[in-house]
Amino acid sequence: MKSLAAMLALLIALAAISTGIGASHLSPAALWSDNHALADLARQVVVDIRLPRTVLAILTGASLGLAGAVLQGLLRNPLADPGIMGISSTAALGAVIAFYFGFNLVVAGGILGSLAAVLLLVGLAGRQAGTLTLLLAGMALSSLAIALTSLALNLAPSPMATYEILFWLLGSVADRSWNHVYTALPLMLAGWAVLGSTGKGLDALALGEEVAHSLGVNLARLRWSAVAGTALAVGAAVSVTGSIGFIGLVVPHLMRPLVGHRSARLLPACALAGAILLLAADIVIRLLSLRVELKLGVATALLGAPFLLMKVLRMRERE
Amino acid sequence: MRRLAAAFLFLLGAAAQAQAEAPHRIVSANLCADRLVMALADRDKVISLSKFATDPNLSTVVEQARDIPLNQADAEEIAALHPDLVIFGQYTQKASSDMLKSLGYSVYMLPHPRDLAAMRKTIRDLAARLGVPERGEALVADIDAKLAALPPHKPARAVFYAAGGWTSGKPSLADDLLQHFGAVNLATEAGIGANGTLPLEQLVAAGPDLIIVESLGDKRQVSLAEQLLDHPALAERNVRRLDMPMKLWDCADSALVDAARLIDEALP
Repeated sequence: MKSLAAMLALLIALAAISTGIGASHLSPAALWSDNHALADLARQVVVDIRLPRTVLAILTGASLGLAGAVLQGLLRNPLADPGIMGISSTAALGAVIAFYFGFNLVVAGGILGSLAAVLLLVGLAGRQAGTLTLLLAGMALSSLAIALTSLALNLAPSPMATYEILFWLLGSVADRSWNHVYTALPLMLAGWAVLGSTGKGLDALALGEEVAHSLGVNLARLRWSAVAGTALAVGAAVSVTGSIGFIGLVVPHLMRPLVGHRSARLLPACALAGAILLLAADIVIRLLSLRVELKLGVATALLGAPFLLMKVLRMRERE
Repeated sequence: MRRLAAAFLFLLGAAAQAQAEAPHRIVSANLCADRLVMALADRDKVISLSKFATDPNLSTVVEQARDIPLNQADAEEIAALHPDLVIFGQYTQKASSDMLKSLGYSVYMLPHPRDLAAMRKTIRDLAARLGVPERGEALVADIDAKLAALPPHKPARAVFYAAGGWTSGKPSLADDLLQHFGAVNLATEAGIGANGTLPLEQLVAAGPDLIIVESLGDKRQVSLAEQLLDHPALAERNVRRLDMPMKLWDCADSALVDAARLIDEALP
């Protein structure tokens, strides 16, 4: 419990920093300034611009961390991750199709997209597919989704197409409004609830399918919960932020040595750590202040890709 | 001496004439080139325009372009038209223009002017290449006169803001126009060059009087980048907002006068 409390404290501290920094160098202290114009401006900058960004980073990070932990447990595959397995990019594809061809239900598109991806992958895993098969299937799915996203955007009647492709493939939480938070929040919360309910089942599953079965775990239901939860949480996140990779991969690996393998502790720890990692990455890119702001998806890939490579090399050594 | 000079000038003129033999089969593969070619060249010498020439959201020459075949800036397609001059934009499909050059076609690369001075040079150079330098002079003089007729305003703080937070500082046409009216360009103030992104909170904190938003004409498209323009933080403050049709803005030609008139009306 101690480590969870420490992480929560860290997350709160980061959130405070996140609302305190930004391109305008305006301090939140100005909220209580006697100068009315300044206080009004500060309210806008802090409450309308920085806060939704912070909240969205936390929600998205937590969704990705949690989904990563559940997927790794369900597939018993240390490299499972919504990004690597193509779930995020398929969610982006769904959102793009919904967005540009006028269905106006972007979140529904994102969720349907990720649902299709998770169903396919879990279906494969159910046929005793190994780590390698799953990863390759994920890679194929991811490439296909990226290609189709680009195609859809090229066909979409918008001159911003090229820019938009970048946007969806390399996610970001910059300059999002509360509307984005309100759209995604309920669906993410529902996703978390469903994902959280898989804890006991995952613990049993870690001992093998037969043992889990003899312990009374309904494997089909467990699978469905993981699928639905991931689709809801990741789909909703991606449809407002674009696809942000590697959080779901890295976080469970960092958390297992810290809190152990028991889901009751691992899942909340992964949600918290995902939020911390993504928020920290978003703070770093704001501090870098390049001429054009670095995309959050670029930052997480810079962190996550070397981590993935390291994991793969370690697995090879063990073999 | 005088006669010598006159003879020299005559020779120079003849040489220039020979070098820039007026083309008769002109193909434009770029929107801005379409618009300038239609303003400068004889219509019957234009055998093809880019596919954007008839898009009412982008083109100012939709009417004139009617009946002129359109191209996709594709090398094979253009070669089949037997052009004696092909005009590409500086940033359009480099592989296609390189291919045409290597096949021996006369390819003119139209620069993308960053400011009004560059625009004048671009128009004059293209007119010379089309063999109608006097029309180039006249067009430049016309634009300059119309801009000069628009009076300066009292100092205001303004910025061009496009989807995704893109904006233009110095040097840019946006900056030149705002300067013409005596307005402060917030992008230049923020140290942004010809192109860059301005984070929303920096824009809000800079206290703009006028935000000039690039709009795509009558049918504004939904895109995630454009959602930024509807961010409550932009709508909430009492900031004037001017929707600038993209077609008045995307090329450096006489449409800029219309853009300037809109800014003139919107500025406090």
